[in-house]
Amino acid sequence: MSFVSFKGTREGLSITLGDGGWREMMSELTNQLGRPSAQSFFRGARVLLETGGRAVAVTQIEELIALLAQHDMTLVSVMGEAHAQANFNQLRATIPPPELLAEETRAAQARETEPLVIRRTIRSGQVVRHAGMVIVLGDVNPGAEVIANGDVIVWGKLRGVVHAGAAGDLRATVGALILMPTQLRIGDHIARAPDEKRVLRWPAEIARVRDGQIIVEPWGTS
Amino acid sequence: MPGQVLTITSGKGGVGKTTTTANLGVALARRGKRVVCLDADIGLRNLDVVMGLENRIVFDLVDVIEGHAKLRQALIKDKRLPELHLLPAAQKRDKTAVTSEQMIALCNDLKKEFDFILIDSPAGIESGFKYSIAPADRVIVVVTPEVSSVRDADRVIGLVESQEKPSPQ
Ligand SMILES: Nc1ncnc2c1ncn2[C@@H]1O[C@H](COP(=O)(O)OP(=O)(O)OP(=O)(O)O)[C@@H](O)[C@H]1O
Ligand SMILES: [Mg+2]
Repeated sequence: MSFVSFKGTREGLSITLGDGGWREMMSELTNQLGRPSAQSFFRGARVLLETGGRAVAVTQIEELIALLAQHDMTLVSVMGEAHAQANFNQLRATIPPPELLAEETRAAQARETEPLVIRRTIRSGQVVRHAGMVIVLGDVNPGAEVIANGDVIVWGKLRGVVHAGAAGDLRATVGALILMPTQLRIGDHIARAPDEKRVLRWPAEIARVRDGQIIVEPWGTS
Repeated sequence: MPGQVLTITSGKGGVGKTTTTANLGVALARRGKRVVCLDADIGLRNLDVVMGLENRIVFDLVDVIEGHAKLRQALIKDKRLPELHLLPAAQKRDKTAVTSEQMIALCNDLKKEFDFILIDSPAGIESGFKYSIAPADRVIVVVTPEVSSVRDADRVIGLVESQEKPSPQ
């Protein structure tokens, strides 16, 4: 018999509480999260708690937050019973934002995630987000954005906004046959397109963070 | 004295709203007025390109309205004319991202810091036009010497007057 159930959603991992007692649910959750197969799956997840009709006390929510934190998970919202929601909102101020949690874990996760390959041009107003590396076999036009927790490689013209290492990984790089982004971000560093024309170097260029700033060099020099 | 909100609109597309907004902004800033040009064409922004500030956009109008960024973070200051500022539109959203009430509230904040708020309205008479007109103290209608442009302008003037705003220029 199961007291808690899990479901992956677009916003994060949804955990639904069943009818059992609080103790039983917590011990089941502890077991579930502790399983070796679950470790990498749940790590870093944003959690949405669905309480159903159950009233959850402040101390119980605190207990849950602490348990999730052991697995690098963050409680981001509580849905269902009104008191449970109010109690969560009261606590919310004390929860560190997910960005600050486990930056290293996220960088590691980005390296493990399958790359996303896009075989078309990304146009103005389109946004591509991915937890790993992004490879574009096409152009990235002005007004388009590519945001990746890993590296970004564009086999074409990169003229839009690009953000590599978006979860904070400063080792991420951005490569393109023609590297002319409107804005290039790596981790929390930002570089802007120069106002005057720049000579592009053959056969391609790569941008990376070195000594605290973004530099661009010809492909294959290091 | 609080600033004035001027909305530049036309009904018909491609008649020079964006060009007029940018040039009016430059002209007023050169006279020492504190000016912000606000691109209200969400999803089809142009003003940033015309003003040469595209590569400096980090946050936009929708980020400010949704509370993801402070006004101060989203305003881009022109390096050549320090009195001139741009509040860029979002490109990855559409006109439903903003309401008239939100635009009025935003302009009330801007009025405290700027002499002129110039709103570059999108073409058409739908929601984008409506939220661009809502905060306006005055409206400027751009017209080209073509029958279709003149007809559209007439329609727009009627719509503006029905909002109990002063007759457009
Ligand atoms: N006074 C003018 N004389 C000649 N050409 C002009 C003038 N003003 C604008 N143009 C040209 O007209 C074209 C459209 O201008 P602009 O983009 O400003 O129009 P718009 O009304 O903002 O268009 P949209 O409805 O798409 O937003 C541009 O090529 C611009 O250079
Ligand atoms: Mg325009």
